[in-house]
Amino acid sequence: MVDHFNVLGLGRKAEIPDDEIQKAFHALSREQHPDASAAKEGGDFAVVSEAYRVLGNPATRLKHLLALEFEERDDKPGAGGAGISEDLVQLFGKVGGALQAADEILAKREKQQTALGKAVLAKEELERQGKLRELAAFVDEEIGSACARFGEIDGLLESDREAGRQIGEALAARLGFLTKWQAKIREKIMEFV
Amino acid sequence: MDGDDVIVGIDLGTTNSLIGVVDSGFPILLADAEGARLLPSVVSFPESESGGEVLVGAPALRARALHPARTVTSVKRLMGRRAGEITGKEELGFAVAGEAGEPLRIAIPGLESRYAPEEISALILGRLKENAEKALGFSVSRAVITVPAYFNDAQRTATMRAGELAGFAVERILNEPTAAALAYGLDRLTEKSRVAVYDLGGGTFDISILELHEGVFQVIGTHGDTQLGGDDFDAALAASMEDGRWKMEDGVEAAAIGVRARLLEAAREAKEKLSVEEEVVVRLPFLVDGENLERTVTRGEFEKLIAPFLDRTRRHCLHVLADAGLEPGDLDEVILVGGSTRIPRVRTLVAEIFGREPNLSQHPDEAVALGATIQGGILSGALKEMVLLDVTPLSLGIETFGGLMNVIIARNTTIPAKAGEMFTNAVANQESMLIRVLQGEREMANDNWELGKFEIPFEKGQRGSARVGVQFAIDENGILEVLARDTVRNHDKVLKIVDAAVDVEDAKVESMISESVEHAFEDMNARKWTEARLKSEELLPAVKAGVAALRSKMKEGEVSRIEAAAHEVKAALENEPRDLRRLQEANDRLDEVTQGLAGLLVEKAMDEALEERP
Repeated sequence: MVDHFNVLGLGRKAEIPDDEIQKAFHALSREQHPDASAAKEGGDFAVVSEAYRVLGNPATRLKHLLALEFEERDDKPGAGGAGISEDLVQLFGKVGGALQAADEILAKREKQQTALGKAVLAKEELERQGKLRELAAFVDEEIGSACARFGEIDGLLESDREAGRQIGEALAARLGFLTKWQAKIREKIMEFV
Repeated sequence: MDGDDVIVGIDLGTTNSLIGVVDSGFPILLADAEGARLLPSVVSFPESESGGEVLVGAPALRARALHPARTVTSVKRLMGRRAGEITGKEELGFAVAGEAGEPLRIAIPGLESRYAPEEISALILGRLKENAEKALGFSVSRAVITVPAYFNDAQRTATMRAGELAGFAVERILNEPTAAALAYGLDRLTEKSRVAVYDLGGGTFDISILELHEGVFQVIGTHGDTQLGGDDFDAALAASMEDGRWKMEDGVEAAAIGVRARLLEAAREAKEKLSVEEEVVVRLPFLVDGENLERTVTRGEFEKLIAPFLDRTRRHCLHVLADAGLEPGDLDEVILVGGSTRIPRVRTLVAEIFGREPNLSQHPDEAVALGATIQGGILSGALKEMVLLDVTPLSLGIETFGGLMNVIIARNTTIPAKAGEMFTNAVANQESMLIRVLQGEREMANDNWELGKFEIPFEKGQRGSARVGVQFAIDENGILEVLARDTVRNHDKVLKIVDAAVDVEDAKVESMISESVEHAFEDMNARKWTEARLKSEELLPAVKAGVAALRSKMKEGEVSRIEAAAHEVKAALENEPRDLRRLQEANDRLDEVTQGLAGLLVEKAMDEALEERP
């Protein structure tokens, strides 16, 4: 398995500031991008680009870190459904419901041929859009607080590896769901504009 | 400087094209013998194969007024597209040919040959090459050519082919907004900043967000529409000027094409004047049968006509911000490029979207060409210390079980990029697997653009026994190569998407054809009646609810006008025998008189939504 941390010349840990990752990526781009005047023969920029893509996203970064630490394939799903907490299940229901409600009103709006027909729906439309925005803000917060625990994971991987693995995998699974939902919600909001 | 080392930069635009070169570390644009840097992207053909020369640029533009049907403009909008995709809605002044699903060809009256869009583009590129060689005094053979960031694989490949046909080795296909960012950032190499480039040209729109830091130009996200630009504004204005009197939409025959060309030209002039004046008078003497057209157009009217197009650019801007996870306040500058950004309303719109005054430091017509020239300089080594990290604008994937799109490389991934996935057989004893390569953002495979497909054979076995690895590689031009490997037998198959346009079995075309057959069997009048009835059934209850909620805020005259119009719709619905025209007209009237009410209703909903916020 490729060690993406190694590719970017970064220490193997979960907690890395975003701009540090970008800085490492830019430095390597200057050496390895096919256009760069200092480009070395035989460098493969696609490898650098892939490392940036994986490490630039906190969810995939944590997953990759754990896969490296415990020598598992990182294209396999995590330890299974065991780590999914109750609050996430509930949030999933909310997200699904809000997306469906949004689809319904959007489909209705799509069918209207006249300005007046659309205007009658405006109130409901705004309400559902508002719901989505609230959810998006909430999911953002959840992602933030999950990432705030990266330092703790790094600590545990030094002191109590098994605990680090368990908490880390649950957190990676959680972040995986949250980032996926976040993208879905944002895309749906765009359909209202 | 020498011909073999030099890489020229070319902006192959919808309306105008330019060429430049880096000289002593500075990008400069090259002029023709008359001193003009802008070459109109227009080609005019002679009457017959033997009767005269093909005109390119300004002379072709002049010939357009005399021979509109033999003059090709805005060919960029046709690059890499299939015949079936061009609908009557598109404002072409000339005829296109080709069976649905096949590569599109341009037909010139009197000429045997049919021209591919890239052949027309090659003529324009060839003229730029000649102009550059005359200006430089040596021959040039290597080029960077720009394309809209939102061009798909087929459109990029067609552009590359146009360059090759013109005798260039195409060193790079470069995205236009990225090129503009290079021009902007050339003097700001030590700064760290995050900028958006809003690029609205003659035929295409792009919005890109970049981060500039110590000579690295990293594209964070890009969005756009390859069929949206100044041409659409001209067409909308022309259609409003002629009020349907001369039936522009029937304009296939030569005479109609002539009328249309004059109208479009007058609309374009009026549009340009309206950027500085509040109103213009358009006069077209003897337009049809000795009849004159004279009309006053105000800037306000024009702005109303282009509002729907500008609203589309607004959506793309919000999309790219969402993709990048940014707020407008996170940007340091919003740079405007493209000729259509001269329109005052475009500038105020950009200010509204991003909450800041746009940056007008770049020349709207020249920034992209300068950027292409800079990239040429980077590639040839004439400019050091700069590197450009661009992204793929559209997701790439393959069709998987259930007709879904499985994304392999997501949009906005930095290129060059590689990614792969393993697949297996879904049923026992399957002997091969069909790989459909797709580009686009839709969930259903069939809603995306198909780039190509191929079959990979494997050994029969139980369900799940086969192992096929599919690897996608996008090169620095944004062009895709797909490798499928049967890992059990080590059998490779490579698909290079070179001429994806020659794919007749495209599912889209199939569905288009079956739809058109269905419609042919339907009674057109019955269908139109149903459509009109649905519109009435939408309006009538909405009128009732709207008037009930807002009667106190409406003027008495307005209420009675609406009620009278609603009454006429009801009467037309109940009238026997059915009078389609009457119902359509009644609907239109009711739709028209309720516009104000619709606005009030939306305002009310927004006020209420605001009040409910904590």
